[in-house]
Amino acid sequence: MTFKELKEIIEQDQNKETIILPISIPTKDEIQIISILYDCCIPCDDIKSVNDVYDVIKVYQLNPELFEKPYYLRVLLNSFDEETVDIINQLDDNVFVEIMISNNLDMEKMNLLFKLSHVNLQFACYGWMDIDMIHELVRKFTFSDDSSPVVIINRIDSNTYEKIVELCKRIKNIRFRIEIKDAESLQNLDSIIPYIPEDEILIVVDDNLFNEKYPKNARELIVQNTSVQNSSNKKLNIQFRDIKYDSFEQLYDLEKNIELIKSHIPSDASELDIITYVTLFMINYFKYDYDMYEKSKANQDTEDINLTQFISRGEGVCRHFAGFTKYILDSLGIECEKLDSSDDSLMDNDFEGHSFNLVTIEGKQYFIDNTWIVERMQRGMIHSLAESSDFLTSNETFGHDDYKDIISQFQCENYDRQEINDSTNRVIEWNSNYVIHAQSLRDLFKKYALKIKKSVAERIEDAIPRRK
Amino acid sequence: MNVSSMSAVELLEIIKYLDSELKKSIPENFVMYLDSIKDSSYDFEIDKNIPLFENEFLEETIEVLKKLFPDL
Repeated sequence: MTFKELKEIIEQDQNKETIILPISIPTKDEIQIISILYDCCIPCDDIKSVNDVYDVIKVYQLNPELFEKPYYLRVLLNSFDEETVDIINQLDDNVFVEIMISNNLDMEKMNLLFKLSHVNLQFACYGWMDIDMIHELVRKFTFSDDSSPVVIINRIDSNTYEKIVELCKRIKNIRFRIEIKDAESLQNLDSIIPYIPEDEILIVVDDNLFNEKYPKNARELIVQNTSVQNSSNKKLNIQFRDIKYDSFEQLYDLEKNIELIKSHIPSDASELDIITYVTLFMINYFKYDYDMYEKSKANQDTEDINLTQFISRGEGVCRHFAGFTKYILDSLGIECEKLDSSDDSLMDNDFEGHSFNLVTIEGKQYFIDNTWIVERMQRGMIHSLAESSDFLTSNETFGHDDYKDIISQFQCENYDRQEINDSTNRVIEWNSNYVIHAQSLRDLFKKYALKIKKSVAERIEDAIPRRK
Repeated sequence: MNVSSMSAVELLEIIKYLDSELKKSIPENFVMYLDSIKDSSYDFEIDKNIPLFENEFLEETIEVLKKLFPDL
């Protein structure tokens, strides 16, 4: 691929000016030079100013004609001055410049930004800015009618909807993305949905939002059993831990079901025993869905994973098995990656896509393919996990020659088969276990606290005698 | 800590399933006390097919649990 072709691809992706507000503020200035082609950052640890960045560009000879690959420059700034602007303006047009301002924007900085004349410029502000400033920035950085700025909303209070209305009035084609990072924003979400102009809204939920240990967690909503309402009939795409859901009810249901599965695991269980337990549970619960596989294959369809539906149907294909394994092991504190052969970086040219997992036990990595384990156990081809070449296996023993490109990227070991047998024997005794964990008690206390907060009328209604 | 005889039954049921770490916070003589005052005619079992918080407990049971686990 020539640089020109790559540049065209990149320009297609970059032609939307983006305004992001407000998200976290980095602690120091950071400058990175990023290769789009290889999606990697050139480390620039010693850089103190944008001048130094320019030196790095010289050192790396970022000349696309030489390298036949484009780079773009990401500049994260807590402060910038005339010199910064001058340097950015001097950069070759083949370098894409993404300016990320990490703190609040004032008029002085705004005026400096207005002096930027570099052609390939993308702007993001991680601090707060008022609506007038957003309006001015959009006017400055919008070069065509197609350019629609994106505002990321990540804190929702009772007044947020007014700001959305104002922005929509003043900025043509404005788009919104919602990032939920705290329980309060989640509870206020419904107040802004009707005011967002798009019919389909992407809501990214923080990975930790339902984790009891996360200070701003929203477990109360799960305990309350009241979902965030979507009274406006807009389509919600909720993204949580890289998996998409159509409603918050689905998300809460999933969390509740995961808790039931976890309720048999003692707190002193080893990582091996937990992984064994999850796989044995999956063997007993899930089946491979050949109809879905055939449909996916025929339509080249890899629709998003919905684990709530996977649990309720009890059937799915490899991406569901691998997605579920990652979700539950993550929630149990075990390091687990989902490896996906459809990922471009892992793609081999002549085999069908597949998903499986990589787990880490005491610092050592192992492959695990629960799809095939479930299938082979259910068909009687193997009779124990220790027999399986898909359970905690090494590069050499893993039962898939056709995924060498993925497998070769890791150095996995083979877990001692006798220990797996011993683990299985321990875990099958857990069925008589029902363990009340600290989190279960906390949830119970929350439910009780909510109950005593009820109004007098609600409490009277609760107390009316009725048949149970 | 005074506990009613019905609440004692619920508390014993909960304590039976507590994680070993949580169990350490329960004084041994407290379990013996609950056992001595429990209402044997009160039949109570945790429904293990639903999350704990969806089970119905006497308010007194929750209050006692909160006293036993003030840090949760």
